[in-house]
Amino acid sequence: MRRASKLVILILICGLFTSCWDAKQLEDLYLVYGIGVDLSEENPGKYLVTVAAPTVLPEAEAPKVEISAEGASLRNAQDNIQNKAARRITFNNTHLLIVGEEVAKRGLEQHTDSLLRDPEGRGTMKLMITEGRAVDLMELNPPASALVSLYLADLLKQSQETSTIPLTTLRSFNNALKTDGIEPVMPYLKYGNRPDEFLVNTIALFNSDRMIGKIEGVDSFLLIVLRGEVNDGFMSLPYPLGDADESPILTLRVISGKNKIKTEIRDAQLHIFHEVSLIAHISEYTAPMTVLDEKIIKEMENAANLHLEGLCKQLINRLQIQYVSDNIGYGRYVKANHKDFFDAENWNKQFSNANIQVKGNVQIKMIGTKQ
Amino acid sequence: MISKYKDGEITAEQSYLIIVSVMVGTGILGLARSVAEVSKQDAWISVLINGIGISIIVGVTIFVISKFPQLNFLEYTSYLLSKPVAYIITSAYVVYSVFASSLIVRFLNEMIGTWFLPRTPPSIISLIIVATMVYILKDGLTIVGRFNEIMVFAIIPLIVLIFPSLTEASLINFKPIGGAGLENILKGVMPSFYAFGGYEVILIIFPYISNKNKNNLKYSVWAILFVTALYTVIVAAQIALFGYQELTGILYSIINYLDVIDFPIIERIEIVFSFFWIFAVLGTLTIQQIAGCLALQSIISNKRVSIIVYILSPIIYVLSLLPDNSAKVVAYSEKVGQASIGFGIVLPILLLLMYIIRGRKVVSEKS
Repeated sequence: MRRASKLVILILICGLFTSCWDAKQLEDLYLVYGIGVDLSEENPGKYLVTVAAPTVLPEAEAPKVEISAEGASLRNAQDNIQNKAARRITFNNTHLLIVGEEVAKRGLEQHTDSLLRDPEGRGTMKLMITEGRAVDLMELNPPASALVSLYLADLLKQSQETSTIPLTTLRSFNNALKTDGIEPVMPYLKYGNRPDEFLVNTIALFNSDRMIGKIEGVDSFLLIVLRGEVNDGFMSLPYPLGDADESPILTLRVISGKNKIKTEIRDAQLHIFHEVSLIAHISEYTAPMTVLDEKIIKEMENAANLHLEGLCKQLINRLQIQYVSDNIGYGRYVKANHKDFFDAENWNKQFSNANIQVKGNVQIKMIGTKQ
Repeated sequence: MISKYKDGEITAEQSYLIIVSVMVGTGILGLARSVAEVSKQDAWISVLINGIGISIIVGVTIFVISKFPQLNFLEYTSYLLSKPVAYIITSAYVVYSVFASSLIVRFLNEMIGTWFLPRTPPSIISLIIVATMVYILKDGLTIVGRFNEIMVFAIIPLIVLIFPSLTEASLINFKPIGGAGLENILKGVMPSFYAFGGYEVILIIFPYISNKNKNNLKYSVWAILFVTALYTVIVAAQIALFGYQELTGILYSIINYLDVIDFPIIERIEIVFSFFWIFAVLGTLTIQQIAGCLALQSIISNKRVSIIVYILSPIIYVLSLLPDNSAKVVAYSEKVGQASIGFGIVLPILLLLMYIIRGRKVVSEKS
């Protein structure tokens, strides 16, 4: 009896070694690296979702596969994609969500829900808007990478490091969406001169989960500076200040930045004082004169401050008047400092009426290897 | 470190580790969310207040029960509260312990079912957890003490993993400090009870400490303060990262907390967390249940605790499968949290009062 019991236990224990019996091999899966979402052209009430995955097998004709399907929601379309796929689709490795501009204008929260709810979804998944349709973008073959989604993920990372765009992940977008006093932003991709050349220097502005506009070029950089997310980047200005076509150009490489935001209510009027401190090195000065002079460096700093303040003021005016949307996040400070004044429902209106003063504090630390 | 103590006893050092181990478990998963729903950005203050309050309660508890070093839970409550009341309380503790253990099994089940084994039936997951629990418990408190002496180190990776995500955190999310109002901050203490629950096992296990000494009280309170500091930091870190508004929408916020930055080499850091967390929860489960078994053992005067383990385990297994969905599990945890207030706060205060009224006399009569 004892021996029989031992034998039964041994057999049962052997069962534990079968834990990988249903493991899926890599070639049995489509590892989705990028998801694209568009409005359906045939059924405007539905969405067209496209996924891209590497084929993995060396004998496969193409290195990647794109599959599209329509659905009432992102998850519904993903299920329909599975019906078209020969392998099991997995979203464990999804790095990028590309959203067509029309979808972004309609609202994104319903799409982020399934990604946030699914334990497979990654909080670090990058989000971006594309000019035109995501499906067209995902069909492209960039020369440097087999998968356009991986190429774009690298491109976003690079552009974020040079402070031209924000790094918007699934989590950071949801955070801005759920938090009172700040509106989300997202990188916006434009096409360059060739179909496979991309330009990432534009930021899509959101009010709640809907895209309401975009800013580009130097304004993108300034928005990053004002949001306190600057890592690196360049700021060019005419020096001495004057006509940009005639004056020499001074280019500063911004090494780091820091923001100090103070708020005050005076006579029922909200005042926001924003000090932007930037540490910079001289990267270029096109005039044939030496800059190794304390007085000249001081004058350059003053010029950079005036330039920065002027551009920031213009950008803030656009956000206050044209878009009525606090994409910088001043509301978080007002909520923290003036709890009774802050109106979560009408914050954007309060923001548009606020008196906002930006003070530049550019500090030039190094001048490079030339006098 | 293997203890020399046997026959159902533990060392004083093991008892401190048991306090830490029993508290750090399933409650950590949704602690920040449940408290932030009430006390908003001041959730960390609620947690801190709760922890300090509990450390005082534990101090009181050990002060009272250390006056009865030779008596078990049933015996010293009989002296202080009368025999019938002691039997009722001890029976109630057994019931509470069974419910609390089944809830721990269910939480572990939910976690494993969500992240690791979505297609495995919950009945199988619960079965494996309960079988593991039985294997650890069948040899009594000494083995549980040794097991938790090792398992408490599973908390270290949990502490280390707090730091990387702080790079994305913002201090503005704490402001205005105190803005939730004193009333809400105090109300926020209530939902954090489940996370702190478990320390009341000291009522049961203290009599089984072989080398009781005057430091028991001091180090037990330090153990509670350690957990308080850990929980306060964890909740504060999550508020700094998410802000209370986003935080209240996340079910298992500590896992999402880790999914904020890309780690080198490790693709899914939350899986690493879960690995250590599962061991930490097994520690909690074994302590919670051995306390229930010891309480029942004192009622039925049984010498072998293994029999009781075998009797209670199927009940725990069945109860763990009763909640239909995640919402019911959360509601279940709130009820168990409320019950833990009875054993964790009301009972120690009652014992102290009775000790002041009649206990001193009883102790002197005994001596």
